[in-house]
Amino acid sequence: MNEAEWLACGNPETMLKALRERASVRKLRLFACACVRRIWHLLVSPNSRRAVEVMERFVDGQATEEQRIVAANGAGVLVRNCNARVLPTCGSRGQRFTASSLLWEPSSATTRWLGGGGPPLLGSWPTGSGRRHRTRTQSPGKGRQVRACAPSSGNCAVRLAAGRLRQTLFGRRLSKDRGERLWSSRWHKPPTKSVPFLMVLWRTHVSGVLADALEEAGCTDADVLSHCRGPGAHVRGCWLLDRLTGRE
Amino acid sequence: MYAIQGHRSGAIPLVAFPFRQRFLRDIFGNLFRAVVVGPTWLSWNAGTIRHLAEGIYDERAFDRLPILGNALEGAGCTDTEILNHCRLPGVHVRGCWLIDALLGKERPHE
Repeated sequence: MNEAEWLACGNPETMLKALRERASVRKLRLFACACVRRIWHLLVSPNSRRAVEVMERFVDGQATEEQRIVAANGAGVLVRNCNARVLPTCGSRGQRFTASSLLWEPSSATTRWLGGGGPPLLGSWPTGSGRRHRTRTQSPGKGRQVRACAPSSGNCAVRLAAGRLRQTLFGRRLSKDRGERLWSSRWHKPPTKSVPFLMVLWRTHVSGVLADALEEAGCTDADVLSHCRGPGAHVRGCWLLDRLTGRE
Repeated sequence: MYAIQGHRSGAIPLVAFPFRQRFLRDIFGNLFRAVVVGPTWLSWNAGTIRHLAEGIYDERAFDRLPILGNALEGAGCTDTEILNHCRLPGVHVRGCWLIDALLGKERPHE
């Protein structure tokens, strides 16, 4: 690539390929941080934000390697559990990949762009034994793929958090028949699928307003109500919201 | 699924967001041209430029770039690429090539 081609180039992936030999790790990390900051308002977990902030300090030597690893693990829990869902529709697919690669998967997307095994951007593959997590990834072009993620770090706290999140996402005790009851019960309004509606529903869900509305409409299911009101991590893709909007 | 719904409801425009490209341009600048920081710029007017650049970098205050542009011109900078980068509207993020060069963080493409 020569200077004229570089200046005229409109494709970020071609630009990244041209940078392969020249870019420093610091710059690449800052690029990944900038991409995540662009979708900052969509990050639902403080862990994701903390990871970016730690990374920005780390590139200037203001954060230690341990802090970086802790932040990467904290953010990685989210990425492992809901992958594309935490960073939903906004931005291109590449941006989402950048975000998740910054937070967790250093060697997949970003180094695929850069064409080779570069240094990890924020996370590094955790070592130690642990069972393999399988993560569903949605890619609009190719349909669903199931991709195996790295073994978990074996860190108890991380595992607990992961379990809690998984429960929020899939509703551990939500059996199939309860789902159908929820679906056909009389208090359930027809699903509205637009994204703005989902955003409103999401906010009311988090603030507990949804629980009051459901109760008023005649819902007596203790699991549903306690899920809305109880403490715990709520992420986009939560089982109740998915039921109500007819997603799954 | 989310993407399709987003497109249908108009929440996501069908054209891709050009932000990655803008970030890359801001962070790496012109790959084929080294930034030359004049030896007297940083000491000009009791280090005004250095203080400005540090403030912009630490506080992410990229709206102050035009002020930096004026200061650089006052210090004798005639590089149109640098002055345009400060003055023309654009996306600026931490890691911007000009601020990095002024602060001596690193050269953009080494």
